[in-house]
Amino acid sequence: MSNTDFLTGKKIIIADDEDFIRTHLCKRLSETGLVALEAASGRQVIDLMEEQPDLILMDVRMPEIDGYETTRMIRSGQKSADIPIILLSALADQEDIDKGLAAGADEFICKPVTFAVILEAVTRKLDSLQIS
Amino acid sequence: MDDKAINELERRRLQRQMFALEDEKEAVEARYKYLLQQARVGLFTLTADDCRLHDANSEMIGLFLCDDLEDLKLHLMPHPEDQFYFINPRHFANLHPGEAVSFSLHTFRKNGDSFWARIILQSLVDRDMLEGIITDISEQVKADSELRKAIVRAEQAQQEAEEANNAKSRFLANISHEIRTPLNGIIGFTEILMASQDSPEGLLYAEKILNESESLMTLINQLLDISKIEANQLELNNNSFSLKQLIDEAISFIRLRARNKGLKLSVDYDNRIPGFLWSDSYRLRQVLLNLLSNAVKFTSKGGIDLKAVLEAEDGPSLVIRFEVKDTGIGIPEEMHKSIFESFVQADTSISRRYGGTGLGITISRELVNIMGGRIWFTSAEGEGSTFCFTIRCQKARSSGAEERRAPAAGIDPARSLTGMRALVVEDYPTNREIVQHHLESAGCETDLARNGLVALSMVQEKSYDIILMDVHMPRMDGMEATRRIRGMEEYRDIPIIGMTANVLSSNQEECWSAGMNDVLTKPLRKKELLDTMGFWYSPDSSSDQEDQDSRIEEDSGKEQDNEKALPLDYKGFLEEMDGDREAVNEIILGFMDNLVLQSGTIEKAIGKKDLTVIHREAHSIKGGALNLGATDLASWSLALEKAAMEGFSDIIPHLFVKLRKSISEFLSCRDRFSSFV
Repeated sequence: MSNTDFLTGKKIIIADDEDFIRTHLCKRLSETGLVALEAASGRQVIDLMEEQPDLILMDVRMPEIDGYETTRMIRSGQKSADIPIILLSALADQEDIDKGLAAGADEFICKPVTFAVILEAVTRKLDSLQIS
Repeated sequence: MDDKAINELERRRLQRQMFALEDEKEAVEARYKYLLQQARVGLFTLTADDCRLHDANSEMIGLFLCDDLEDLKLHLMPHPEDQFYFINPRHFANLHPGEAVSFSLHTFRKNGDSFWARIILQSLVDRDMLEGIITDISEQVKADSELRKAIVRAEQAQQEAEEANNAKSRFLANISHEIRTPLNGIIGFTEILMASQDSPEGLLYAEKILNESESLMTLINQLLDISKIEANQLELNNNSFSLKQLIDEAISFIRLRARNKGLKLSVDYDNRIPGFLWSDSYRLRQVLLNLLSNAVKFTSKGGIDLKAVLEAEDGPSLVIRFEVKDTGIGIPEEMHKSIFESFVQADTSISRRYGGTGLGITISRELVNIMGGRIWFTSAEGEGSTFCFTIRCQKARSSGAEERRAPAAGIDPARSLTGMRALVVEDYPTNREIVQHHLESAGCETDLARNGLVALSMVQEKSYDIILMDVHMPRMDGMEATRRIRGMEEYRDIPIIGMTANVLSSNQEECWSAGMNDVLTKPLRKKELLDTMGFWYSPDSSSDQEDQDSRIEEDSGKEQDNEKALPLDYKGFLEEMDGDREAVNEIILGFMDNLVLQSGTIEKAIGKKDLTVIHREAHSIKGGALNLGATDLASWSLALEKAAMEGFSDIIPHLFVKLRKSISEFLSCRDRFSSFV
């Protein structure tokens, strides 16, 4: 396994309105050394932006503000415009994906996936961030 | 809901399921990992092709004293150039999938310590891995080897103990032989001294030296016997002998002591006992002498009866029972059990009063056991003891030298040895001198040789009538010398008498087969030596017998003349001593010598008014006088004894004048006894 020490201490917001999914992702990602911040809605994600996260892993279909809208709001914010955003959604049509990327997401992962796929994407994003 | 919605819900459900399965898998893996790590045995996997370590649990890492898995991998890295493999791939190349092997191997920890490990290795189906279990069996191996070492040590210790015991026996045997040699000298020269001694005191003291030396000799022989018994080395040396003769000899051995104590001896011999027996006569004599000597030692009045009975007869096999009955102090009931134990006398005060070690009875029991019999006793304190024993033996035809030499009593050695030419072959100067002196005192012409080789050249230069041959000598021993001399035409029939200190191995058979006619046991006693010489020396055997017969008649005629004038009952005393004239004369002369001393002692005691000494000496004279039938002497000494006891000091000097007169009368016939000797 490649060296993942650089993950340690990085902040990641994990947003999903389904408790089981959110909790599971938090637990597994915390094990890699990441600091996981939980959010059950778009609103909570916006609120957590003060924490200056390094990455956002977010469901699309959420109450109040959905993933698309939240992405757009983050991109429009001055400080948060460059934070990588990975959308993770049960919506899997090409139009949904296009919509997400158009909103400003860096990546769009369709459920169901193994944790390994998610971890790979997270690592890759944070790694490239580090290099740049 | 539209299709898309259903699709989305399904995807969510699948995601949940997937994560749940992942959790479950993780939990199982964690549990598995936990088990591996926590297991108290070392678990590991090796790559199948080159047996490199792939994984190991913490137990195994700890076993090798490594820090972690990587450290262990490095430590166990194969070094084919050094022929080092933790597990050699060549040995497990043909391990089939699913097959398991187990073996022990010697390997090294990281710090260089080696240890023994037990390994079970299994080839996993469908994986290019060997899975192994390793346990440290060093403790077990160590325990095993400790056990083996302990066994070896125990065996060694036992062997050493046996060797030490053998060494002790050898030492005892050697030292006692070494002690015996100078003791022989002491005994021999004491006898020479006695023969040349004029003063009664000197004679008395010499006699004491002789007695003490003989006690010492007995003790040494007993120690040697005990050591042999303890080492299980005591063996019988059977020969053919006459029991009647053996008993006569045993009795005559103690006769003097019994006589001196005023004890009566009687022998009851069962005439159904065959004339000759096949057994170890030396050992049988030893047992009989021990019991008889004890009986004499512990009896102050009364007598001792020896009985020999044929108890059972089955063809040639015989059981003979012996009984030695005394009227002595007896053995207290509480001491009955310990009497046969080594170094035990019934009472320590016994050894103070009577001397001895108590070894004799222990040895007797062992000897009787070896001779297939048993020994027992009945005794009550103050009423005497009866010791009984049996032996198993065989009937024998008369043969062997024992039979040839009848007791030579009655022969006057001084006359019969005159003109005899004897060669004495002996390496020990003291012994040589003693033998020479004894022989020359009997009129025998004596030449000396210090070993067999010298003897061989001497017999070629001069002709001899008899040869006395020491058995153990340097250069050429007595056996070889005897064989060579026997080989010479002119010496084919010469009497050769062996002399050996080796009483135990009793190599008499060997002596006879070497061609010796007889064997004398050291210490050589003058009487025995001269008797034996007299027996074997017959310048003209046909006339010799007649000569002797007439001489005996002559003697007895002379006796009768003398008896009338003698102040004692010589004939009666002689009868009681079974006609042993020499012993009788010895006793009488000894008594006379004492009388002179005792008379002086009494005279001094009267001057000091010491009634105790007067009483003691008078009592002693009385006892001797009664035994000899010297009535006049007995009555005056009795009177003096009584006066001393009653404290009649006034009449004591008068009685002493009478006693002294009686003593001088008694002593006046001294020359007659001297001439008999």
